[in-house]
Amino acid sequence: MKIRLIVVDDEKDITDLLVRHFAFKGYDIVGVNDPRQALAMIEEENFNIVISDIVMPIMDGLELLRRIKNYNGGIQVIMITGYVTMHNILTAMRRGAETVFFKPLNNLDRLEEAIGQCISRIEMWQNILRELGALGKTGQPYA
Amino acid sequence: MNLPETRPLTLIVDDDPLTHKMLSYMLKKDRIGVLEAFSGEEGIQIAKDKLPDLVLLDVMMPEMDGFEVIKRLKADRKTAEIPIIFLSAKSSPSDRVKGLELGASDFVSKPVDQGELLARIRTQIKLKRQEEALREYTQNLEKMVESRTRQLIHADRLASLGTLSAGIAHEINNPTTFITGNLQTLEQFWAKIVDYLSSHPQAAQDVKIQYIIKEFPGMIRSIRAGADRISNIVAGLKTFARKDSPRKAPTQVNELIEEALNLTHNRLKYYVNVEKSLAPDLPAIRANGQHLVQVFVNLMLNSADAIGDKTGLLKISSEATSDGRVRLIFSDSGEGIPPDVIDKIFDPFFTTKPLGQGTGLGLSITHGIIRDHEGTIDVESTRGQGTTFTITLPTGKRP
Repeated sequence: MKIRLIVVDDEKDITDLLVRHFAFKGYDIVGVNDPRQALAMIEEENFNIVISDIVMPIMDGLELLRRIKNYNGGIQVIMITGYVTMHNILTAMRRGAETVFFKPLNNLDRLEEAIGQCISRIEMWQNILRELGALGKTGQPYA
Repeated sequence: MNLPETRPLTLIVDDDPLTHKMLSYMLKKDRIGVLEAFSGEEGIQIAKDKLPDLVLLDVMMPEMDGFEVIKRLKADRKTAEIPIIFLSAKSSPSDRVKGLELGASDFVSKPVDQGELLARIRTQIKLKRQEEALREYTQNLEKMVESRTRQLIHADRLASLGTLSAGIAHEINNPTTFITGNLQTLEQFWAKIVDYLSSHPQAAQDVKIQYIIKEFPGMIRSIRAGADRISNIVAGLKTFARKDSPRKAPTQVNELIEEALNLTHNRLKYYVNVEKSLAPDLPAIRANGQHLVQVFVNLMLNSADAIGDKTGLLKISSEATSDGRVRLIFSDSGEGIPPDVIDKIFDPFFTTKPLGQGTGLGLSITHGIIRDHEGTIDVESTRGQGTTFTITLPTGKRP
């Protein structure tokens, strides 16, 4: 099953650069600037990994995180943020984010490593579910 | 009324020796010092040299009369403030008016009544002394106001810098991300292009292409360095803002000093000899350990920079003071801080380091942290000999 990524940040320059960087490396990745749109897309299509900014207008990244985990706990979420506060970090951790990266993103290789760890985790769960024979043909567990 | 403590000095200017004898006698009896001049010219000269507290001046003198003397004394800045009592003949009211208009402070009629003269002299001297005191006080006051205003502006700037920086830090991080993020992609793209070019013989012949291939990595590095420096300043600003209220806990300051020495060991080991005299059994202070370590590291690194590459000494001491505080002294034998600069060292962004080294935030952050701990930090320095920082911190214990 192909892994799909979605990047959410209200700044188009940032979603563009992350999509460009990882698409060039061969990842299946799209960028979205409106968190509500992101949520809709996540619920309609299959995305395995979400990379999201924290401070965004309309809906902040921590709220997005909460709703994604509510919808499907198996989706891996990586937070990126320029506004570093203890409160934001702890909330992200408690709500199940995989990790947090600080802007400016000086080291995209480490972000790629984190993505790799997310993929490993997803594949691990998929293997477990496959073993239990709970997977249908679409690759999604029965509702 | 009492005369001021220092013995007042009077200059008698009169061509008549008899008047001199009489007046000197009166004045000396009252323990007033006397200088004597027998002409206007002589009087002006002595007044300029000795700056008496008062001049007793005769109007009627040959060559230069009293009015001329008054004019000349008042015209010279050195003697202008000396009160003049002139001696006038009883039958000349117009003389008296003229003298007063020219700037004399008072007059006595001849023949001189001793009691009256002494009373007027004492009054004038007292007035003069009071005027001097007032002038000094005003100057002092103005200096104090100037200094206080500077302090307030400084504090205000720090405060607004703190408020600005939380928002600005966040704002700057985003566009910096455009730079650093895209740069990393650019490196990837470039690697692919260079790879492609290397398989094309024409590329090897083209001088300009070869030049681009050679220069490209360096340019990327430089853009990267610029973006990193921006990030560092932003990070420094964020420490400055310290929006998250730091928690304080009872802390042993000697342990923090040791921690800072560990952190700076690599920087200090070559040229800095460290001498510690840390008092055992120091009372604990309420502190944010991380922040104080940052302060100590900052001071140690600054000392290392000041010492440079000629072996020097850094003395660190800690002791309890008699008024319930802890005193820390960091004293180095480095190049020192020049007097015209020492007032600014705690200003944000002030640095004497060459362009690109250091953000100029270290000491201003240090100052902020110490203030945050309700402590004091002072600096003394002698060019060519060294610099000493003295920090005191409260222990919360009354002595």
